[in-house]
Amino acid sequence: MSQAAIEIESLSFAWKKEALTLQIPQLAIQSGERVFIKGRSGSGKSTLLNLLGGMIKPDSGTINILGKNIGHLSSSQADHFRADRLGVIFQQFNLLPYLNLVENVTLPCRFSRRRLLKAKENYGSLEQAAIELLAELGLDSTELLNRSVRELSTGQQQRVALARALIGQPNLIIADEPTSALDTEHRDRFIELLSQQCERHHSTLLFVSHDESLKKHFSRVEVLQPNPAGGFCI
Amino acid sequence: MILLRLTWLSLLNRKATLLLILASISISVFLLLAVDMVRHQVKDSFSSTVSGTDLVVGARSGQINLLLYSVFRIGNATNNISWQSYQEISKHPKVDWSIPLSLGDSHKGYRVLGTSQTYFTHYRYGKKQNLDFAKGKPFAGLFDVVLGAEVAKALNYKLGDSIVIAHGMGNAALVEHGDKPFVVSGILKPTGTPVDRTLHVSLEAIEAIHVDWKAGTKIPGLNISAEQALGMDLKPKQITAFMLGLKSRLSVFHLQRSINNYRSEPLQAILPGLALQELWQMFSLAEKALMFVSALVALSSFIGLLALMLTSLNERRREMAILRSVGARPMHILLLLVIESSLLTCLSVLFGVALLYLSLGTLSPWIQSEWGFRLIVQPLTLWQWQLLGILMLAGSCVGVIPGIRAYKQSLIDGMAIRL
Repeated sequence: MSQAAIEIESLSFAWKKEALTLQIPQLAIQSGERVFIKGRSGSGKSTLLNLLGGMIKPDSGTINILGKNIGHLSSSQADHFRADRLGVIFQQFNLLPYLNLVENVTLPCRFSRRRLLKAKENYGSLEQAAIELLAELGLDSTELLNRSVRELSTGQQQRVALARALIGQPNLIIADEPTSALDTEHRDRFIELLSQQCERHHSTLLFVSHDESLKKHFSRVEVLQPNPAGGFCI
Repeated sequence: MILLRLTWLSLLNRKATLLLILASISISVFLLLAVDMVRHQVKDSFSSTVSGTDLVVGARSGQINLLLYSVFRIGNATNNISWQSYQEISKHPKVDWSIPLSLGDSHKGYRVLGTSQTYFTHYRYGKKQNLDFAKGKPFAGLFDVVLGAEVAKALNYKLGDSIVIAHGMGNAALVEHGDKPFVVSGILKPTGTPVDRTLHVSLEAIEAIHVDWKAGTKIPGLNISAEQALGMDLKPKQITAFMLGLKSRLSVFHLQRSINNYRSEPLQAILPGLALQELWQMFSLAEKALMFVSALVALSSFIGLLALMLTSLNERRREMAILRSVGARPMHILLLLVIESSLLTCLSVLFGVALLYLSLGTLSPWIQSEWGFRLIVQPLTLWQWQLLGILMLAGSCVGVIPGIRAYKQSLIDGMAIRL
């Protein structure tokens, strides 16, 4: 199982014509790898995520995700592809306040048939999938499940977001500064859980952060650094 | 459908502000329906009050004025007409029947009409229906009175009850014809017309209660008892107006012309249908103005909704970005907002209709007693359904504008959450 999860070839992207934003001559990430991408704010992290999600198209070069050149997909195809294959965790406030825990977790399966079927295949039912995923992350008391999302601590919220990213076995998990709102103790515990779960569910993990101290948790580190030609590059 | 559920839960999450806009749209729905319903019912009720009468004759004034005071008992006669003119015209060879009408007295706010037996045989309302008795029979004796259905019900009168008639109109302290009480001889079935609110006595009775009166007051020292009055010659000298039925409708215009040119007294004959038409033309302006104002209220409610949704977009940017990150497409985001405005409008329509029927149910007795107009609780007409359809459509369209904006915004934001 060494199919490349992500293959980037001579990618360049600029928001404005005159200023180059991001340049990646070559980057390959194998399936199941857990990669730490370090970059300070303004270093093109969001641009990279949007490129990987197919929300924006590269000016030149190719991005292959799971063997598919997403630059060639129509925006609707890219939307489907992202819904099926990508799980995303943000910095904080990941959850919809008006849904309960289980509804928040199952949300991706409402927009992706593939993930719905996977979840049912693995856990029997969608509800069950959410409950078991939450339990794996230590959120298993019934009292907790009935609580409003708003009453959860930030750490708990991030774990719910992780369960949501994992449901239906997407191939690629992108975590965008998921621990920046957590204290050190919770941070380490969360990253541990994240790595563990990605391994267990055979998902490739892309962990983006500015915090260098976190790189000890990862087997591979890439750095978004200033490019002499302008913008940033890997 | 997940989008519907998401919209619904998201709406509940923001209910405080949304309730206000919901109330605003509900009120405009209510207004539009109420104005439309009332105008139809007013027309129906007016049109059904008189049918089968070819001409109404009274003192010369305007035709609407004559129609209003003679048939609808609204307002007062400008002048009376002489008994002699009535006699002559009603004996015209082309006249089939005639009903004299003598107004001017009242009983507890209800009008007293002096008339003849022909009223019970020839007056028709609605779809050419004759008056029916619920109890009793037409007046036979001099001091007999026949009550309209509403009078009997509201004042709780039974056959044989004694009634004193007051001189003049209104509820104020009026001088009463206390020396000559009347006895209820009959109660009519409900008609839904002003007949229900009328007390009917004979022309002779009107004459009898006024024999010892002059110029609107009792003549001091002159007291003629009810018994004495029975023996007197009570031929009326004046009446207020009369209705005519002709043998052939073809002669209506001819007779109308000759009445209008009547030599010995200025008279006016009107065709009730034509007079009603003129009345509607007067009404239609007010009607249109009301409709226009209601439409403006609806418009401003929708603008309010639009403003609210547009301002909420910024607060909901995170919500949209989360949805995008879990796989919602920009189209879903657009739909989410269209569903939101449609759902709100749909709820408002439901509330508006509920409000309409609630107020019809609770206010209609009050309107009837205060204005003498009965609002009937009836189902929505086709046009009213169409009106609701138009509102629903407008509501959905309102959602498209913030929808498109959110669509574009979500394309720009992508998956990144901007704080």
